[in-house]
Amino acid sequence: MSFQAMLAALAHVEGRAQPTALYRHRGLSSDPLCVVAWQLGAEPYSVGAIAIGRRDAGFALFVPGYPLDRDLHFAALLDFAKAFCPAFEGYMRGPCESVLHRGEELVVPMELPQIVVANAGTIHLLGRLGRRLAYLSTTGANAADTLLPRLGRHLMWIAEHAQVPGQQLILSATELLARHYAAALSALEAQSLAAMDAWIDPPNGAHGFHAAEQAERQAVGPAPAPEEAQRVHALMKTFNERRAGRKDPKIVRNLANDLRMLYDDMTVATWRLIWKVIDRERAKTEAASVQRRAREDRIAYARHIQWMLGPAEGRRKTRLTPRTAALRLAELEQANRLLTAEEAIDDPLRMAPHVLAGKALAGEVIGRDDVRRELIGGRNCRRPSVTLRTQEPCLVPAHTELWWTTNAAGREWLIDRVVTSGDGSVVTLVLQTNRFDAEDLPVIGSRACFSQFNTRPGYELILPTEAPWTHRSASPSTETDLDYGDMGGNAA
Amino acid sequence: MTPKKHLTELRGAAPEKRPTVRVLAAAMAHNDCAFARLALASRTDLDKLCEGTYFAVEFGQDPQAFQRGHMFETFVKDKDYAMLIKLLREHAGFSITDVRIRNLHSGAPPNERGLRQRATETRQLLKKIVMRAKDAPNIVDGAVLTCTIAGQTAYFEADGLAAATDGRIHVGEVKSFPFTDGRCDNDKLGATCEQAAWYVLLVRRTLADMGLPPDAVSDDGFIILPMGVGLTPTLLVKNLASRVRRAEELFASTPSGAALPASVQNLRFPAMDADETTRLDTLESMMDDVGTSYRPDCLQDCGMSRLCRARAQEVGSAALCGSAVVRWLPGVRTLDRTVALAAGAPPAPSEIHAAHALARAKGLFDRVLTRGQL
Amino acid sequence: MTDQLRFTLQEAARLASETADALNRGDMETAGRLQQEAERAWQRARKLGQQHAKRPTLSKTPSVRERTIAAVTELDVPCSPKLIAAYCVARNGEPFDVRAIASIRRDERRSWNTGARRDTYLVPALEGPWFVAARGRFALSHWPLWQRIVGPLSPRADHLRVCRHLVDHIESVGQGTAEADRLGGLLAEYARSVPGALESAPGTELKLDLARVREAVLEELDLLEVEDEGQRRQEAERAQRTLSDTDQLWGGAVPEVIGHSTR
Repeated sequence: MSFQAMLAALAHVEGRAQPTALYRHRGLSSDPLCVVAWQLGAEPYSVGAIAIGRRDAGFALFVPGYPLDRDLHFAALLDFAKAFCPAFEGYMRGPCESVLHRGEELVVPMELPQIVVANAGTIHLLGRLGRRLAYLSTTGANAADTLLPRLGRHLMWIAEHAQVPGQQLILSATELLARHYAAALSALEAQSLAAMDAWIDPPNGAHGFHAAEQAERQAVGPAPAPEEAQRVHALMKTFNERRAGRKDPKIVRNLANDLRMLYDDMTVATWRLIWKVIDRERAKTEAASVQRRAREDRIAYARHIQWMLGPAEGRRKTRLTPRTAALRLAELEQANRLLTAEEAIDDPLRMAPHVLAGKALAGEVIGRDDVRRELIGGRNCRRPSVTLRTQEPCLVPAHTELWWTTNAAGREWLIDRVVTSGDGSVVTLVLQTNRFDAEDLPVIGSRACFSQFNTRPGYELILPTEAPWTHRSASPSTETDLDYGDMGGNAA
Repeated sequence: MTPKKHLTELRGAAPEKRPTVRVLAAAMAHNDCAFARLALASRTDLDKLCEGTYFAVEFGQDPQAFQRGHMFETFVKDKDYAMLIKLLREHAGFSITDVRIRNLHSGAPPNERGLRQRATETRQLLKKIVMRAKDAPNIVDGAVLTCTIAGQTAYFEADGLAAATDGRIHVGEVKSFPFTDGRCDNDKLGATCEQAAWYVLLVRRTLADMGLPPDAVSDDGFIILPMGVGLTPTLLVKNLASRVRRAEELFASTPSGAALPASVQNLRFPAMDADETTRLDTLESMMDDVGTSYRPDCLQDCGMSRLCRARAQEVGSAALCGSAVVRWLPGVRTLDRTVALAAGAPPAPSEIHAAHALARAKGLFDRVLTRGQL
Repeated sequence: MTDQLRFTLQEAARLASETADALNRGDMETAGRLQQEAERAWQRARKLGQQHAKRPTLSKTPSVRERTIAAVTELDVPCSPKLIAAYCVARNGEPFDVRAIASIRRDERRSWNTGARRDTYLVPALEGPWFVAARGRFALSHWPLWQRIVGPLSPRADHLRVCRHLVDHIESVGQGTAEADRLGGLLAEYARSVPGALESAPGTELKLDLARVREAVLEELDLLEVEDEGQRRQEAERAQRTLSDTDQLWGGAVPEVIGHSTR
């Protein structure tokens, strides 16, 4: 993609990031939730601190003190769950619509249940937390409060849904920027929210590189900055010494105060940055297809809530069977196809690289023949045509199937003839149907764009219920409670 | 001065890097950078050389992370490798009498002399294993292997373990990222397999030096990870053949530098107690003399990366943006030149190919921004 | 407390000398009365003296060195500091600072160098082709050389021997006692890697079946014991040929290796 390379170079010379889209291709709800999480060292299944809130109301911070102690950790997570679950589940109680989905009626909230986080790392951490909580036993020796597995199942589902291309239910601010701007930055460095923001909006007229050089030292989570990590470690040590094994919530809260203040400072910095970024991006006009994708998110959410209320109480298999894996892959591929197509159709800046790659063409409509006929199989059928003059040479091979971006769900056009004209070309395209209205063809004198992208629904994948012998594997094990379900051992 | 003395002089009063297989693997991943090769040959620790300056890189591992890794490794090796023995029996088909152990850390001083002692004993043990001697160990911890770097014999400590049965050697690495539901973090697993592959390569070379068959070292490595939240370990068997091949190619492609270039002979890495400005000046002039090769993944591996990146930015090197962008700009030296070509500057012969595409791209970009449509 | 004892003794002594004076004067009545008071004072002093003696003095509890040597003696195999500490704590419930062993190690060598000869010394086990002092493994100087040498099978074989000793000792002190419970915990940790020794249904509490543990431990040890002892004895012969008497106790020196050839 020389387009990407060109933009990166432009960013370097101008000292600012360059837009890769005219519109915003992810939806933003009016008052989304925001979660900030901090991990502890390399502990995969614990949080050092976790915060949740909304933009104007501010965040509530939950600090276990010593997350490696299961009781302290779960106490803090329970408090977090008491804030998270009502907020996340509450959308079902707002205004809803009834949707016919796969043959059944589904009640879907009108408002998108959106959660904003800093980056993909935070989503992964929440997913792992979810895995740990989702299968806890609520009866017997090590019973956990029922709210914890419920929180875990929500988090697991959210982390899973994050993989759907184009979704905005769990929105990573860093990814939002990465998909809408190009800077002279490697993919690795672009994972720093602070660095990307500095490139887009360098303070005091500094060059984006220098602004990012300094900004990237700010750790946005889930990993704290090395210095902060050292301080957390030291404070946690003191906390444990003073605690001397006690677990009473009041004592713990008291002794953890220093730790809480440190995490509060860290979270405030991240919080401010996230909202700065969201507020700025909100000002951009939303792309036309965002609402369709947001609707898919809302439907998925409704189905998840329905499953949570069902007999299994939201319990899902930890491993996919070959059949469910194939279906899931098909879903994701379909979503990706539609996303790429819709973004290009909605946004000329997104379409530009495809024009350069010979997958699309754009130009002024100089001719239109509504009554043109073609001899097809012995019959004289109506096949309207349109003639475009393009400013750059047309790189699309003849007889390629293209769709007019304004009617991307309609029928395809075939390139009939390409003639060089000055710097560009004159291209004739023929609509492949005799059923059309006047609006299905572009107006003479306007600019039109034809591309290989269409938004027709794909084929539905019909699979047999039993996987064939080529796809059968050993039966996957049942879900285990990570803390105690495995063969004993020291649980953290 | 002997070449060896040269290298010690070169390091000067700069901190020394303990040579482990992990260090070799990281250095080899950047063997296109002459500066990195120099640091490896002279065993200089670049991690903290920019400390206190604007370009300081914080490599400090989170103490919590270190603790978890240390705790898990200690647990696996506790009580004379009891858990490791159990894992080898249960997951790797080791027989119940495959319990001969040699921990080379024990009894060897933690200095250069100790390294040589361990290297000697490592060779003896490898021979015993391959010849299927009665007292050949089944578990070797703390082996030291040798290879030639810049014409000198260099000693590298293995961070991992070697497990042998019936004349076959498998390398093993103990890590603390979790294995849950049959899956684990693939990036971390990949990095671990990379380290293990270098261990395989070094053992094979050592065997070859001794006239023993290198394929006594199996392509299958053992990765030991905790399951779930707790520390109960499990053992994964991973095939390392393709990684070992890549490592071999990298190693072969490293400029052998049997003699250090004359220009290097007057250089010296700066000491830590020098003030920031002096340190930076020395490093920069060394970089000018020796040459560097900045890539974005240097940021994860090298203490000089921020300084190198800043220098790359000053000249507008396309490497700043990553390899993907570099591939799209063949023959174009800098990002500034890229923009000039995109704006229509006449291209040099090597730039023609890229220039045309760039000009088209810029044209489209400007058109969309001004008109709001294609 | 000692003041009171001293005062009482002085009282008793004073009363005794007054009794003597009264006798000298021929005053039998006073002498009799004084003697009874002196008797009572002596009794008080004796009682105080006994109470004083009952309080434990530092010289009565075993020192760290004594506990260490006792532990290694009982276990009868070369031990790591961790094992020594865990065993001591399990035996009598008293805390044991594992770091003390490092200073014992230094002191032992120093004491040996002065020429004094105690009954036994805590010495390092010997390992490797040059019989260097092993790090973190201790034996007793009065043991035969072969028992102080560590061969390739020795770590595992000794591990199993420790399990066997723990089983025996728990049986001898009787299960259900506090000491047996502590030792049982230690045994559970050690026997975890012995196939068939411990069994528990997933999710249930671990129950220690001593007979099953012993059977499993002996089964594995059986496969290793003969070879292990054979190797150690063979190495001991070689050590006797090549090492001085001092080195046979404290470990041999490492040869200075100049270099290795590589391709």
